[in-house]
Amino acid sequence: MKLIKLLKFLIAITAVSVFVSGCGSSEDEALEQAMGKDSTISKSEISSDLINEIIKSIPSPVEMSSLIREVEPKYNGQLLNPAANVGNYTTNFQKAVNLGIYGTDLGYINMYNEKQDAISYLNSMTKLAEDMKIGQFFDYNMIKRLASNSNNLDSLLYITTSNYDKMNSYLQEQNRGNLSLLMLTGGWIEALYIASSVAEKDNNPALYERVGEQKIVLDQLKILLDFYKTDPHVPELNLKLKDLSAIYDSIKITTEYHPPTIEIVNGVKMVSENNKTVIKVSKKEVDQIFNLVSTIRQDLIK
Amino acid sequence: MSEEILKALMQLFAIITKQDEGASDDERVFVDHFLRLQLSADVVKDYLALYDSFVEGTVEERALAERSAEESSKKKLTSVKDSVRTLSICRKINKTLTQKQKVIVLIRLYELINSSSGRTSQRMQIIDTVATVFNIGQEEYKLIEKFCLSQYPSRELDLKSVLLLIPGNERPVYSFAKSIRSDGFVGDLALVHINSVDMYFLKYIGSSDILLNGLPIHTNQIYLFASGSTIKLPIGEPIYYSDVISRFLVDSNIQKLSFNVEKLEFKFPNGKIGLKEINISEGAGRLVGLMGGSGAGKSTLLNVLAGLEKPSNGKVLVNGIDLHRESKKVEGVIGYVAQDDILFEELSVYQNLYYNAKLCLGNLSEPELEQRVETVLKSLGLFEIKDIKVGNVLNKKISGGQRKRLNISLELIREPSILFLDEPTSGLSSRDSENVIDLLKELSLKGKLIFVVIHQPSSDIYKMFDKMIILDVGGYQIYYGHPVEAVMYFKKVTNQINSDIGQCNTCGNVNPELIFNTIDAKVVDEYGNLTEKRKNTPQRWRDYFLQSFKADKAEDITEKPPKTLFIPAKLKQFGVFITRDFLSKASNTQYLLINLLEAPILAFVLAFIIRYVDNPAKDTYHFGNNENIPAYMFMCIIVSIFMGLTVSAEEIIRDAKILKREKFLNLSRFSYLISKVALLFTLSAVQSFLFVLVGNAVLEIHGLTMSYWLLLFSCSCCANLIGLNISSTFNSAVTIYILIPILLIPQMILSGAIFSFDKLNKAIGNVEKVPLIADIMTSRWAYEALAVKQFKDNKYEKHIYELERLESIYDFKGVYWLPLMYVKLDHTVELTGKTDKDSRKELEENIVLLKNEIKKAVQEEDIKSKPVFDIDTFNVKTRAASYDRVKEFLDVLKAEYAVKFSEANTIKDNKINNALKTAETAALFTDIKKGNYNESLSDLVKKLDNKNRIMEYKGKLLQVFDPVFLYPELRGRSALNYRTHLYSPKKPFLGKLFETFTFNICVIWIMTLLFFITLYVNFLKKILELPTTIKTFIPFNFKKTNETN
Repeated sequence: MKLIKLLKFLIAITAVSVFVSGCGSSEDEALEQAMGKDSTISKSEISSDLINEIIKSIPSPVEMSSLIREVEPKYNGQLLNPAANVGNYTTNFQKAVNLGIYGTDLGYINMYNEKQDAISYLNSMTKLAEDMKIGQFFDYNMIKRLASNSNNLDSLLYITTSNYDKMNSYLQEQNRGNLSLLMLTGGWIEALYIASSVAEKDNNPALYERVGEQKIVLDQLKILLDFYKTDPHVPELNLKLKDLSAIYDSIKITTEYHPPTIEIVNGVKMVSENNKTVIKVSKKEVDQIFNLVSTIRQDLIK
Repeated sequence: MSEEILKALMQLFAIITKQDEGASDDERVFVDHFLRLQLSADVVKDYLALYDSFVEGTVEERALAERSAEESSKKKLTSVKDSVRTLSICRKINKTLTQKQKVIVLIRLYELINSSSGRTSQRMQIIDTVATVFNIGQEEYKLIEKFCLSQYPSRELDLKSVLLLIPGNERPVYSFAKSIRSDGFVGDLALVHINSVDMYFLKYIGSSDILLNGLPIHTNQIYLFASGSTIKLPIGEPIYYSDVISRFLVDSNIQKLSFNVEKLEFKFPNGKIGLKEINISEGAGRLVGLMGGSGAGKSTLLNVLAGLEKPSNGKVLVNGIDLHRESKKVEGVIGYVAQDDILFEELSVYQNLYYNAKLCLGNLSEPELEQRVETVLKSLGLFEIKDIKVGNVLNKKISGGQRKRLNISLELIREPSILFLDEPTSGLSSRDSENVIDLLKELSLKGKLIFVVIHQPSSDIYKMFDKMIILDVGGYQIYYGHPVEAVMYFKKVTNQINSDIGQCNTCGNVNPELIFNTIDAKVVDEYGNLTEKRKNTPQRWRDYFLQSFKADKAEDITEKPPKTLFIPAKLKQFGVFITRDFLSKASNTQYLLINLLEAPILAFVLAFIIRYVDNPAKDTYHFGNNENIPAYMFMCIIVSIFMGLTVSAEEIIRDAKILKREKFLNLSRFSYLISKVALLFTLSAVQSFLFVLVGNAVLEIHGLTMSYWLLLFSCSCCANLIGLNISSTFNSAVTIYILIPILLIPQMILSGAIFSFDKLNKAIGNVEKVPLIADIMTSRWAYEALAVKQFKDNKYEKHIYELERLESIYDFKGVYWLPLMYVKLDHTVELTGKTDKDSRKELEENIVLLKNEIKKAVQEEDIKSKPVFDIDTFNVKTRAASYDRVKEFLDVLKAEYAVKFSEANTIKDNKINNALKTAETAALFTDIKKGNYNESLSDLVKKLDNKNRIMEYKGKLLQVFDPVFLYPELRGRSALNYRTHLYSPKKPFLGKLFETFTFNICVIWIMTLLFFITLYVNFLKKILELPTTIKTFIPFNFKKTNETN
């Protein structure tokens, strides 16, 4: 009878679906096992003042970007870390590093006034910031200020720096200072990557110098990263940066002494330092740097 | 009668008459007379000649025989030869004539003998042979013989099967025979009842002028007394067929019954008079007709008599018991067949009757029941079509006549003692109508009292009634008596000619239309045109009637009226209802297909269209990135509610007539409703299951299949019950279907999915918690439950939900709450000391806020820091310095929050890092996240698009961010107060927190139960009828009635 056939059919479907839904549970267990039990790793005691000092001395990636703009008038979006990658970042390490990377990317985009890309990068950054619970520093007002000052380099610098400072203090209070450092590192790596990539193509001496200059920054970063070696991923990064250091060792940075000059500006005595910094960088070294940075960066943004 | 038979009969007559002395002239006259009754004049001659030839033929043989030696032996020879011939003729007759006809033949043979008074042994022997071959029982044969041959019936026929007419003044006592008295009767009249063929025969010996059906009867002749016949005596009341029948009925095991209606009156709810002073008096074994023009009140009268309506005056007494006031005592006695079909279209004839029987005859066992059903079907000529589906009026599978018979059989099967039928012959062919009335007549002969509303009956049908009640417009009873007499009465009253002729003398035809023409005759104006005014008003007719007839009331029988209804227990009723309904639905292929395919097809279309891939380059679908998922969840719920409503909307209204009947039979409405609910729930379960199966498969929603199913099933069930409520309330299917979108739209608006509750009209919306008006919407509970479940318990999030929750709470406290508290605190300090009114007010408000918030912070379970002050002591007079302690406390809290946040954050990060350690587990991790954690949904339940994260409201600081991580406060809440914000992960109730998913589903089921209760008490209908019920309490009627005098 039709009815009985129908009933049999329904029962069959029910059985199949129950079976299928049962299969999925093995996945569950695997994941749970992989995640392991709750555990906290004891944080290292570092003086936040010391860190702040060092962090302050690291220049903003925005500067690098403005120079690049002068050298290479053409915008190359392919260079940047795609905004869609934001979905891949799940650990604090990944999120912080890539927030920094996106920050640099945003700076680059701003230089060229690419509004469309700016929006998607802002979205990604906001998302990462929310995930990291520092969304309050990427709120609407801040973004508006950034957008309206995109042509004014000084303002841009000021806004981003002061914002970063606030964020850094907050994270330090929360005992998450490692995150602000990772952001900085990420930002710096991306800046170096973009600069070296353009330098490699254009053979611009000014850019070469800039790339070479980063030796100083790198040294500082290494020291800082050493402080946070309890974070599982930091030592790994530090190791890679040591490789980079090796290349930088061959670059000679010397300071030529020039006597300081005194000027009177508006009835006030001003002393200007006239020391010149001389950096000797060859194309070969820039190429090497570029290759290594590319690899390191690739690992970070995947 | 065919030629063959007549020939055979001639032979038979000849054989008999030629015995002994031979054919006499008297006998020939008899044969001639007999033929004339059957045939026309010229044909009679031919058959008579045939008879003569048969007789002569045998005379020749006799002459031959005489020439031979011994007469006696030859005589024997001839009789043997004749016997053989008789046998063969009789066998031939056996094959063609019915038993009734055979009995008549036998009686004619006796009459033949009587005509010449020659009762020789040889003749008797032949008749004896005939009787035997005709299979007429020995006893009956003897009875017939006695009856036919008796000369003094009143003395000779004191037998059980005989009815004798005796003069009024005599008082003879009969031990066996029945008698009817008639004043002034002279002569001997006897009626015999031949049981096997159920026929009555009449014989009169005397010299008075007796008329049988208008024709004079001859002495010593036997006449068939057929149904509807009347015997007219020169003096005294006529004797009707029903009178005769009722005498014989007393004998059989028929229950005694009395049905008396005294001064019955009925008023419609709008005040109009429906019936005016009706008086009826009947006993068992009668077929009573109810006739009248349109609007006369026939159906109304029937309904009141059957107990369906309550009269405004007067009473109906069944065996002395008031039908309306003591209805319990008369339960199961009365049967009622409505004019409309109450059949289940999808079931077969057999099934319709079977399930009905199961509900009426709970006292019978299963085989007995089946037997009874078969018997009834056979007696109604429905057995051959028993397995055919009934079909509906538009799509007939069985003819109209068969439908009507089936309808009647539903009541007939329990053989109620009193049966009411409303126009059982309407729409039937004349043949079918006759069959139906025939059937009813048979029933009445078995002792039932049957009332039939009949419209435009044919002459034959009209004559079958024992009594006729005629009503005129306004419910006036203008005639109550013998049907044929009615014609004569109306003619007499209006002084028409031939008022003593009721039926046509030649053909017996009666014209009931005559009656109505007379009743309705219109006045002719001076120009000779017919006006609209009637010659006689209903009141006038009524007056005539009252003048002409004196009502005699039958005695109230004191025995308990016979009950023929045995309804089974509620559980069994439930079984019958559900089986019947299930079979009905299962046989309807269209219904099954639509309802079963509806769900998966809708699911497929929906899911397929919204299966969004966000990265066109990669072209792989990820559940996590499908931005349409929140909308999909919402659509699922709306579709479930919609399907639930449409499936149930027509359920009760379709059964409206059947329900009316079942109420009349006092069947359990509860069982009926439960059966409906059970079936609908099953259907909902299947539909929801198919929907979830298909939809979730297409959109790759993993792992929460059973939760989705449970939720959508609950929604559908709730909608089912809403649908049943409206189905039970409204009278037309169209109204119900129009109501469905009207019900769905508020569900969509107030579900919380389309319009946010905190952005509605101030009168409705609410920032703090879900508005009450939304709490009555099933969709609101369902959507919240589903959203929270899908977010919280999916395969990815469930591992880290608790940690994320802690992160969210402490982050909020640290980033939003604390800064605002500091601000408020500073502001408060500023305001202390200020004395102006506005400042004072603000200060008070601030203090209230601080109090609330500090108390709340202190009561948090995990927070270890406690304030050193008692915030309750703070008031407007507190000095600024005291607030320093509050500030200190806030600082302490800040530190603690930071620590707690960091802890949760670290644990979570470690977990994730662990999962990403190896490439294998990392791939698993990413897959699970992408396949189970939907970004758009999480944005929704975290209210990420909200610009404000914290809000001051009624002296409190509200978190309007991350609602899915915010537990509702239990402090200061009454036990039953469950209200909290939308997407709350837990619901507060009775001092505890319950999982939102579970709680919401329970709420939906409570609503379902509530709707069941309103369904059972028909709450909605009563609300709608409130205006009319209020009207009945108004003592005075504004309308002027049209009645005069």
